Amino acid sequence: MTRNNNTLQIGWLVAGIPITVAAMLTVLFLASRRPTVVFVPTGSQVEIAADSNPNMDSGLGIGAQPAGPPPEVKVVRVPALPSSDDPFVVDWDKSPAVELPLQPQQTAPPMLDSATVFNVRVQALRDEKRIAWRLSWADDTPSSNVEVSQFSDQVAIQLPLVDNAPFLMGGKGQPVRLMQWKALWQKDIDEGFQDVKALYPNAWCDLYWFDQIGATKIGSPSDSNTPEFIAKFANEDIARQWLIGVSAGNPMSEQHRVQPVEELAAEGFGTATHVPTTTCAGRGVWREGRWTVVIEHGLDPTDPLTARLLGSNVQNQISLAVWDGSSGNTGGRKHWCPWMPMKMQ
Amino acid sequence: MPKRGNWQIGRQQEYPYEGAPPKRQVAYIFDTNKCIGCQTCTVACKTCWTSGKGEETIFWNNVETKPYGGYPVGWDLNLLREHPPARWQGKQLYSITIFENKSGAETPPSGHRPKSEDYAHPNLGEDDIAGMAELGNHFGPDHPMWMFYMARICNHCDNPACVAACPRKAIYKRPEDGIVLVDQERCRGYQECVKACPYKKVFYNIVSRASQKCIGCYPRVEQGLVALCVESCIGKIRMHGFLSTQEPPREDNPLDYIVKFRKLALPIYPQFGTGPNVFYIPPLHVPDGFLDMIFGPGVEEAKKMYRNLKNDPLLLGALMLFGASPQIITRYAVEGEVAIGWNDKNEEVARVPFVEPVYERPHFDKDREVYRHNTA
Repeated sequence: MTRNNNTLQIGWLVAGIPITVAAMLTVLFLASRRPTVVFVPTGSQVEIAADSNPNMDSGLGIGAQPAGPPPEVKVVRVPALPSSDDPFVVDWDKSPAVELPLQPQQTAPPMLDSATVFNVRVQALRDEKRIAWRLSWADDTPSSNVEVSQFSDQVAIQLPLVDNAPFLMGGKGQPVRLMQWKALWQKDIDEGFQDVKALYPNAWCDLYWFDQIGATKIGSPSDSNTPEFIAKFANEDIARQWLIGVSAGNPMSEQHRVQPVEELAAEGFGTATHVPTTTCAGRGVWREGRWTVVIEHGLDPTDPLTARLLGSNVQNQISLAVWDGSSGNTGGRKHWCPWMPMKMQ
Repeated sequence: MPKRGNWQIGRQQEYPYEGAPPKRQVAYIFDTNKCIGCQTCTVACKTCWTSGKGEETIFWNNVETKPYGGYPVGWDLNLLREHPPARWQGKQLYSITIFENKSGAETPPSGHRPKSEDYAHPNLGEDDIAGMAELGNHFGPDHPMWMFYMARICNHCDNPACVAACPRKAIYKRPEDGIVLVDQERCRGYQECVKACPYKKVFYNIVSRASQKCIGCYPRVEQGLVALCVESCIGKIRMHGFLSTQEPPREDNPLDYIVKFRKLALPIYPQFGTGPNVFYIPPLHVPDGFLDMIFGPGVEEAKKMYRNLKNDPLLLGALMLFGASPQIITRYAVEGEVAIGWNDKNEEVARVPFVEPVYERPHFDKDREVYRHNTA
């Protein structure tokens, strides 16, 4: 039997054209579709949360609101709160995890154009003396340094001090308290102050004036190009003269940070003000594509925030904000959620 | 959004805040024809104000070579690319300012974020001419290729974009002299000002983690002294003073006279709508088209006026007072061929003859019985 090779090849060609065209059309059709983001909650903790609120939809996109009552954050009472040094200790399993939906802040300028973080997982524990929250969200690109046009990942808890305080930073006469954690501050604490050398290891400055003057006045020869220099001399007047933020007492310019969390008071947009004496503490760790951050606050009855949290007949509420540094989130360009009910145990 | 008048664009424009203009407005005139790009101003400023840690690439004052230079790199080109082109009808702008740009998702003022590496090349394009000079060009009387030095500081704008952009109101314009300052205690380093300033004259300090900008040498201004970049200028290209704001402009105020009455010095990119207060005498040898882009309408008239200075004693007198005193001259007069300047306390602080006196020394010094000659 002879085979006509030419006929065979033409046959393949004839069959191949419609197959190729169909494949191209399919690809074009799929590529022109808007990407659909589907969240598949995994893990036992989320299931617990979903059980507590059968209407909760953890696949929320922007602007979508869950049907039914909003998820409630339960502050579980334990005999002793775990140390915030390790955000992954098993004690946290005692607290049910709730996924709170986030959306881009588009109420007051500067606004966040589009969301890159869609949920934040919240747990809460307390003992007699302290209250703590564990917050966790997905972030493939951890950002823990700052430079011009580069920003740090952050998370903040907001708690009202009075009934009906607006959930975006409070309002005039309607104060709120905030506790903000920054990845940059965490790095300052874990690895030492993030100096010029941390960003640019090969950077070299021939002369810092304060180095010369410091060497003569303080009587210690120093090398201002080393990161240790800041830690050593930042409190000396002679160096502070060239560290204007430090000498002005700007909390952003703190060279000897002891906690990666800052407490703030606010009464509306643009009013967030550093609370100098705080019982806030915390720690955040980035692992396997997620930030996990523990923020804690002392329960001192003389503190207005504690008084509110422990007050009788108070419907406690919590609101959160997450900043994705690598997407240019800064200040008001953030993800937030409205007040969510929080039940103290 | 409230509206306010902007004399530089000949119309009302939008600006987020209302408020009276300052009592008087700090202002500067830079004569680009005299600048040799020596960077003495840059060094004077840097040595005094920004020699700390985190300020390694911060230059409140810089001198860049146009057309190719720019610090941070492409500060102007990036904004010109993103912003609709300026359209002037006579002296009136009918295109939009950065406060009126509502086309994108962003709330005005519109701006762009420079990258860290953009600050790493303050000398990029320095001394480069606009194009290749042809062989033999240097034998001819005219040089068709051009460049010029443009010294730049904060413009202490009438309508500062940095003030408009700061969500914390941590930037303010002083009511006494219009100097724009960043509150070093309140700034939380959001960098909205860095993005908004069309001139990119607000900087982010990576060590203090707050924004910083030219402070207009306010501790000196409060003592009646000119800014360090002005005093140190060896080419005497700069004048530092005040524009009248709440009262009508005065002819005996050199700033008012040059900027408001004669319009010899022009604002830098007035189309952005910030009302900048550094005014430039345009370089004579640079094509009008390029200068129109930077300084708006009025370049041709200014050049004509500058060429005619020798027949214009009052204007010439005002220019003679550039760099003539470390004190701020608030009043001046021309008596014969001498320009005289007074400070705020009415003390005479400068007296400059139009023509420097010439002293002739005879070849033979009789007293010392020696011949003078000019070789060592």
